[in-house]
Amino acid sequence: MMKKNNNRDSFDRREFFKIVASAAISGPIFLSTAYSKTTESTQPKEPIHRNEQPTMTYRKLGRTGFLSSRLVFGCGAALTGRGAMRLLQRAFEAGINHFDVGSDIYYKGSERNLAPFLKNHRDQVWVVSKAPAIVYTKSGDSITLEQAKSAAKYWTGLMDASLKDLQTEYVDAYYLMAVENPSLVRSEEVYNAFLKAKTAGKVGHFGLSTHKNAQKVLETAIETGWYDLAMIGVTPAGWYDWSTKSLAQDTSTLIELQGLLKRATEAGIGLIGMKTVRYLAPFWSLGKGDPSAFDKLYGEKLKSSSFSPFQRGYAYVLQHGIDVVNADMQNFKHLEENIIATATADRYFS
Amino acid sequence: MTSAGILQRILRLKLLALKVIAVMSIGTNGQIIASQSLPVMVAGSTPKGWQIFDEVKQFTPKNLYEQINGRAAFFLAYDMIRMTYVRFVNSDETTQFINLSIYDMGTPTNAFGVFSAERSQGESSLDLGRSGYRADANYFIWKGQYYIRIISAETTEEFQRIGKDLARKVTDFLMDSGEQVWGLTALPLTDRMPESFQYFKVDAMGLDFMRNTYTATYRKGNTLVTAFLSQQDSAESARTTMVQYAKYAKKYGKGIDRLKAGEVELVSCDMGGTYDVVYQKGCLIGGVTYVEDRSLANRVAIEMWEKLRLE
Repeated sequence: MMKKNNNRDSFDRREFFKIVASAAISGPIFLSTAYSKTTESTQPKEPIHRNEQPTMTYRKLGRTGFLSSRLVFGCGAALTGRGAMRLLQRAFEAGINHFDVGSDIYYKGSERNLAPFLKNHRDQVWVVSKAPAIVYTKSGDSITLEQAKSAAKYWTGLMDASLKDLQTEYVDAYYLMAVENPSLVRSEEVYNAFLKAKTAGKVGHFGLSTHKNAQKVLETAIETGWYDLAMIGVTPAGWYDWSTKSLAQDTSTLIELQGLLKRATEAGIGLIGMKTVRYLAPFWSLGKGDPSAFDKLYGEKLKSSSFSPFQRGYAYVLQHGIDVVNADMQNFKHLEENIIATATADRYFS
Repeated sequence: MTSAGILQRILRLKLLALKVIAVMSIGTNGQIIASQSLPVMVAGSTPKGWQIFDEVKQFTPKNLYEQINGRAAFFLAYDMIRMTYVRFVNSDETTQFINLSIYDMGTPTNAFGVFSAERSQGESSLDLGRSGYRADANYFIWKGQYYIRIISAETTEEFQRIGKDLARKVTDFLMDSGEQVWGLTALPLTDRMPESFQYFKVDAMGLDFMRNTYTATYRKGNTLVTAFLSQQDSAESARTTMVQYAKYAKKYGKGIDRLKAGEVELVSCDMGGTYDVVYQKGCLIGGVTYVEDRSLANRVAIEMWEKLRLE
């Protein structure tokens, strides 16, 4: 089992213990309120550097201060049932320093398969995992206290399982996975579960991933002031909605979403794009099979580049308010294409 | 007999009739029809004291993502036909749940592929289906063309017991054509690590050109060696794959050597600290990967070539 990481994002333990002591008297709601007001700041911290290479570009992820490679290695699908050590090693050599994985309950075996890589590189990379806090309601319905408690318990149980599978005592962030219900986003029960895990030294930052009802989820995350990271399903043409495997109905384009993205950034939330080019992919890869779908949004410079439609999509969102993009890469070909797209995105925008 | 008892009896008879229809459908009209009948069978497996949340649902390749999100791509890569899903909730405590998913993968090979790719090492094995295991109170089973996942909200013994009963009921009503998985018998059995066998339809070893590939781990002395075997459409296609493998080794490794040992022609790839050795045999591409000792890599690759069990 890995030792706790010395260079993790600093958290003032003395300050936290003061809060916890107060919370022990006042109950869990006070815990989150006190923590939010006392220790969180939307101001970026001193930058955290890990495995930076000249072949990659980097962006500070909100108030975490972490300088993330603009390409995030999405390990969930890539490592389900396979080690892919050479693929991970190649990504590392190219300067990718941000590895995103998911609970075994969802991406079976992926965390265990990432563990050998982390054994060699844990202090040199940023590791995020995630798990669903399952509640069964419609997007618009508020969850009950009982549901929130159950969701928090389930989520933290999966977090513990993630740490065990990753063979580490600490992950840099842990997300609420695939959130669509704003009332879950603002659940004090879930947030307090995160704070307890943070106090126990298991996790550094709180985040969420969303690809349905994403705009409302992100707006709620901003309001709470609790979230450091948001992984959002977004494309050059706007929000991506998994429930339709298409663009969200009546979505604004990414250009039109700049105000919201700016608010998130100002709130200290690092923005990670996901499902960015899925719409373009073939059907068997859950896409619509229309590689030219976003072309009308691109300028001449990008359109005339040698980039593939997928590379253009990544380059575009990275130049329009998204800090980094998470890509699911299961072979060397896709990895190399994505490295080029993310590392050279700025060349195609004036 | 009370009216409730009569109703229960009618329901049981209906279920039996549907079971017979399902079995007949497999024999006459192919597997898809059987798979369409599954909701009734699944409903009949509801644990005592539990109820179905919402309804039994079925998903096709077109809408699987609605249920399992991005994981759908994994199952589609193995040509999934239909997934039957139900959530059982405790009648007294509805936040307690057990999720049952039955993936109809069309063939035993594809079902083995998803089962083996998701399989965890060192879990408690089950005497259900062709292979299965329990992790906490979750159950994962391969039977014929089906892959069964049972996910429990809690890990208690009670959930383990209910999960196992459910697993038994489901494996009982699912049919197995008995069709063999080719790769399971082609690679040698000697020194093969139990439960290490896997099948990748695409992207084996992170290589976009490696399709229809089986991998297995072998214990050679104190060293574990991963062997692979890929079936191509033709000898010509296999030759092309060999060329692609050599290109990959030159790009990401430190070069290749071509060796000949008796009848066997090998490409030895120095990947910088580890070695891959690849051979072609007709329309097959095989070899070993990620071996630290070069001579061991060569030796095991030759051994694999010689011991391939081809009929």
